Amino acid sequence: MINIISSKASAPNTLLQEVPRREHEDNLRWLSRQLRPSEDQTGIVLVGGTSTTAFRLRVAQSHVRHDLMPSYWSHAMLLGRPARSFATTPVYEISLEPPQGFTFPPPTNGLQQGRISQYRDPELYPNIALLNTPVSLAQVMEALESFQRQRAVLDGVELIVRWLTYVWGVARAGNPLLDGYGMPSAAMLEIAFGVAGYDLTPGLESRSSCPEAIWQAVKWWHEYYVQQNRPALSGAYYVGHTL
Amino acid sequence: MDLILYARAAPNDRLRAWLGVFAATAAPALSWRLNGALVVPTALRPVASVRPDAMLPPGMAAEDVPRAFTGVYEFSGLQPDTLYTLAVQAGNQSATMETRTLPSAVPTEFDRWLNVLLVSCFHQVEDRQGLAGIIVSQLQAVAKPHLTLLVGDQVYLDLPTLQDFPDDVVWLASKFEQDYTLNWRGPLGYTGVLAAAPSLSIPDDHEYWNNFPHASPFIGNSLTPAGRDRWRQAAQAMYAGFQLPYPAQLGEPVRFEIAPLSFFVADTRSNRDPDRRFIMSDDAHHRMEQWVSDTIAQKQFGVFISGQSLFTKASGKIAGAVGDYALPNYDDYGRILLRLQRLADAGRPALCLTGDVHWGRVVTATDIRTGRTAFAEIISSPVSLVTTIGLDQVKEAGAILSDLFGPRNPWPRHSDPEDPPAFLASEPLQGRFPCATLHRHKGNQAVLLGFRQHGSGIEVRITYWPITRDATVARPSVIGPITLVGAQENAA
Repeated sequence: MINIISSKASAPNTLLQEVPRREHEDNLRWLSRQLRPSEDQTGIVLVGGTSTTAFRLRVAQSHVRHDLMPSYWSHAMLLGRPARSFATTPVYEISLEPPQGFTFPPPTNGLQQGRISQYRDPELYPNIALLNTPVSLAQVMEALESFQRQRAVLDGVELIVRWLTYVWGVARAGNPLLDGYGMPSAAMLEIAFGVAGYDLTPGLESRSSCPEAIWQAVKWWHEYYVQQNRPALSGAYYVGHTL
Repeated sequence: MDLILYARAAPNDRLRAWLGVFAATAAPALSWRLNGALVVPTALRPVASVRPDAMLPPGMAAEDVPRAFTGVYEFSGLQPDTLYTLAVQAGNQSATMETRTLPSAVPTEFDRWLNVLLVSCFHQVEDRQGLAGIIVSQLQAVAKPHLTLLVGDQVYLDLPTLQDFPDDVVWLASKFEQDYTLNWRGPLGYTGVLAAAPSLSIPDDHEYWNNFPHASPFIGNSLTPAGRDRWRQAAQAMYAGFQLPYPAQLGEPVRFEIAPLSFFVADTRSNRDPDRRFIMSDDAHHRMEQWVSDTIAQKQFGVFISGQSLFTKASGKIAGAVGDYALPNYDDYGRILLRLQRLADAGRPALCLTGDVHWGRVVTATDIRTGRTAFAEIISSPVSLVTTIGLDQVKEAGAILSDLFGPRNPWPRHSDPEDPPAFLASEPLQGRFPCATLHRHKGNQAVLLGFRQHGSGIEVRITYWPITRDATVARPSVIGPITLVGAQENAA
């Protein structure tokens, strides 16, 4: 069993809004509509995919949910400073399906820099969320710089390998979450925001973060943040695919 | 005459220095330099003989008795987390040390930790080669401690067990001074540990005698009230000279903060009631109450330090009387735990640090109301296991035999760590906090705690360093990090 704690909140966070996708609207245009650029805020994008890899990741996170249903989300990433052409906006992530392959991940501790455009297709990624965190992008980027040199704090490369063995069904590889190994991109974000002084996953007492834990934080842990004298997470989402 | 300097824990804007002047016949005049500049510190304990006049040999002039003089001096107006060079001159003798002020806050960066060395139970006779000092000094290369917590039994005044001690306060004071001098002055002894970082001491029973303040069947002097009183006077004079965390008075708790940690260092030995009605004085209880309130109000994380474990059951009548009573054997144990429970009520998890038991262990207690870790207790014991005449020989003989037929036991004299109770203080706390053991550690050891801020919580990385030359068991054990996160308030 995964040691995740349920929030005591009786109602979901009103700062999290469902925003339906418009007809023929892709994820870039949906995200563009939600952007609220601010120096004091940083965006996290959650996506829920339909590939076999995404399916396995969503099912793996069912253990974090009290109903044991698959998560809406298969991946979490940091949204960089929006570019003039939004499609070229950088994202910082540890994807298990990097478009260019993994090359040799140790020098960056697995961190990859991609573009948001790779998550454009609503058929591949029907579920999308943009979460606003009350932490400046500069703070998070500084933490990510350190993260790349600090494998001893969180070994992103080890997480990649462990999760690939699970996703690809290698030997008897089990669900890494059950052994306390977070999904690499979410675990990286949890560490980076933690260094910046913000709990991204207050329901967890370990580094076994995952997109579902971040989702629960934005949906249910708003009262906790207020009690800790920190602004709650806010954001918008659309779920077009459930399992 | 020679001089020894050790740094004492102090608020982060000042340094405190303990000075030992050994083989002297009078308190010397001192001059101090801080980073090369002459300074006049505040004397928290002006340098003075550790033996009061009444404990000097009768018929001898005080100036004819070579002995230890000690003082504690404070240097204020300094910067936190800064290295200073402190030098003292007395006549033609001098001593110098480099030490850092404590940081003002626990680091938030990936690669930085607040390092706290946790040690207890040092018997010099079993560490004549100074291995503890060597290994602790080598920690500097891995993670230099910012602070050392000496949580009891830094000396064993009641040993050797089979020696018959005269019931004479003068003789006792002289013997105790020799014991302390051996550890504090060296050669070797505890000097490497004392020099590792600014330190803060609390006493346990062997700063007095086994099972103080109760009579011990193995210590003839403790069998009469007058004998116990003479021993206590001599032991307290030495404790005041070598360990008392001035400006605190004997038995007073000490508080200090390294944000967001708030430490409460409780002397759970000096003021114990012989009738076992209380462990701490009313004043100490009031201070603890205030500390809990302040910790909650400031949303800090409490660190409660005691000479014995809170995560244990009461000793049985015979075990308590012959061995050592545990904290639950005293009527105010429940009061202490109910105060700590207030931290849990407010969603402020706390850490408990202790020694005493001659094994190491990490235990957590989960609050069933929130699902959070409410308490974690870390035990570090011993640095050098005390000799137990008879039992040691039996255990070693047994180990030789068992080694012939199975894997070698690298710690034949050491006990296996005990299980914690199923629930922390189940009577006063009514089964609210089930316990889980994260780690057991057997053998001589020093524990290095690493603290780092993470989000609004604290990560605690626990490293057990075996104190041994045996390469097969010398690897450190790293536990955690344990994450302490504030729970939601008014959780029901």
